[in-house]
Amino acid sequence: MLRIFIISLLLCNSTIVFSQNALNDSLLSYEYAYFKSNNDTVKQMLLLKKIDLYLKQNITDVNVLNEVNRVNVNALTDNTAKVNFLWNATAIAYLNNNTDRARFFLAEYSELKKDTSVTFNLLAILINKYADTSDVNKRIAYLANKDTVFKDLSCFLDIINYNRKHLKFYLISSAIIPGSGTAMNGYVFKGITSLALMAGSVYGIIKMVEYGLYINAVLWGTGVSLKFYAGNIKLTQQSFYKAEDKKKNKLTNSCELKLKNVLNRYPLTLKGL
Amino acid sequence: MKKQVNSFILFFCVVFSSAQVNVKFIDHLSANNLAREHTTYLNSLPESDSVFYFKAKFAAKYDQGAFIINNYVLSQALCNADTNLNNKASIHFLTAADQRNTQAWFGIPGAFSAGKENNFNTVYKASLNPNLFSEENFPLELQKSYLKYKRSYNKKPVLAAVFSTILPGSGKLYAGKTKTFFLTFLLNAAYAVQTVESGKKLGIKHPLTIINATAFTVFYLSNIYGSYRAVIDLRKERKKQFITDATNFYN
Repeated sequence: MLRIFIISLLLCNSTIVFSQNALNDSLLSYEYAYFKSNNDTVKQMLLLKKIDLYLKQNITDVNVLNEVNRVNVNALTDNTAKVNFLWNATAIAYLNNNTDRARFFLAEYSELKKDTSVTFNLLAILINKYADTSDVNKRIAYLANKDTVFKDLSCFLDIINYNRKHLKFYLISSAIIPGSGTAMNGYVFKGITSLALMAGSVYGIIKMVEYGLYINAVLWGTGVSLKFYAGNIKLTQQSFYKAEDKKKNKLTNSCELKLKNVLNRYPLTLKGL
Repeated sequence: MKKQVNSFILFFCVVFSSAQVNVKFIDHLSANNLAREHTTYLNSLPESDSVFYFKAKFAAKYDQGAFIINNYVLSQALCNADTNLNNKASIHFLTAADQRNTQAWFGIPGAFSAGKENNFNTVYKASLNPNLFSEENFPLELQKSYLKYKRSYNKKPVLAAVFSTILPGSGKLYAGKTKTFFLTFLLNAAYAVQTVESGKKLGIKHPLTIINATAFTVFYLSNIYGSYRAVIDLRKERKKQFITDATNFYN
C-alpha cells in the first residue's frame, strides 16, 4: 500500500490547481511518505516534490528554505534533478537573504554544471554584489561583451567603494567657525543655528562679566556654551555620516532601478524539479 | 492517472482521518520545524484529549500563548503529567509581554502551573509580591537576585519624591543611583546660585534672573519626578532580572 501511495505521489499530475488547504494537505502527505520511507533517494525526491509544490504557488519564504536545507544532494541520483535543485536552492537562499547559503549552493551548482549562461552569471552577481568585488567585476566584464546593458551593474561596485573623505577637515572647520562644517555637509540651516547659538552664548557671557555676574559667567560658560561648542562638533560628525548615507542610498536606489531593467530583459526563472 | 490520484486521496484519508495519533510522526514534524505540516496534521485529527495535548505542545514550541491555554484546559490530565510542556509554557508566560495570558496560565485551577510545589508558580507569585516569601524559599543561586528585587519592591516612589523635594537628588540616592545623585545635586545647586547672584545684582524682574529662575524650577521639578520614576524603573528592572535568573536556573 505504501508503495502505491509513494508512486501515486511521484506521478501525481503537477498541473492540479492547489488551494491553500490543498497545498497544506499535499505537503503533509509528502512528509508522511518521507517519514515512512526507508529509501534515501525516494526521500530526497519527496522533498523535491514538496519544494516544487511551494514554488508552483510562488512561495519562496523561509519554509521553502527549510525544505531546501533538508535535501541531501549526494543522495540524489538523477543529475538533472540535482542541477535544477541546486539552481533553485541558490535562488531561494538569495531571496531569503541567506547569502552564505546561496554562495554554497551556487558553488555546488557550478561544480556540477559548467554554466556560462547569462542567467547564471547574473545570479552570481546578485549574490556577491555587496561582497566579492573581483568576482563581480569579472562577471560584469564577461556579460558586457554580450550586452552593454550589463555595464550598468558596475554601479554596485561604486556603492561598495564609496567612502566620503576629509572628515577631519569638516571637524576642524567647525572648531574654528562653529557650524561651518555642518553647513558644508549640506545642512546649512543647522550650521547657521549652531553659529547663532555659539555667538549668542559668547555675547551673553561677555555681558555677564561686564555686569559683574562672575558666577553666572563661569556657570554659563562651562555648562551651556561648552555644551553648545562640543555639540556643534558632534553635529558636524553626524551630518558627515548622514550625508554619506544619503549619497549611498541615492546610489543604491539608482542601482536597483538599473538592476530591475536588466532583470526585465534577462529574467531569472526557477527550474521545474 | 485519475486512478492514481484517487488512490492517493483515498490513502491520505485513511491515514489521517483515523483516530490514532502517530506520536513518532509528530516528533518528526517537530524535530524538523515543519510548523505548516504539523498544524495540518493536528487539525486533520478528530478532537480528543490526546489531540488537545499535542496541540498544546505545538503551541508551546511555537510560542502561541493563548493557544497553549485553550488546549491545556481541554486536556488537563495529559498536560499536567508532561513536566517539559509545563516548564516550557511557564517560561513562555513568565517572560511574555502580555500579562493577561500569564495571569490566566498561572490561574488555571488544579493545573500543574498552579500547584503548590511548582517552582515556576512560586517565581510567578514572588514576582507579583516578593514579601510573600523569604529567600529560603529559593535555591542559593537565586537568593541574591531575589533579595535585590525584594529590596527594590519595598522602596516607595513617593518617598523618593519627598526626599528629592527636601534635598535635590537624594531620591536618586534612595533608588541606589549614587552618581546621578551627585550630578543632580550639583546642577540644582549651580542653577540656584546663578539665580541668587543675578537676582541680587540685576533684580528679580531682570530677564536673566527670570531665565535662571525658570531653568532652576524646571530642573528642580524634573529631579522630583525623576526620583519617583527611578524607583519604579528599579523595581521593573530587578523584577525582570529575577525572572530571567529564575527561568534560566529552573530550565
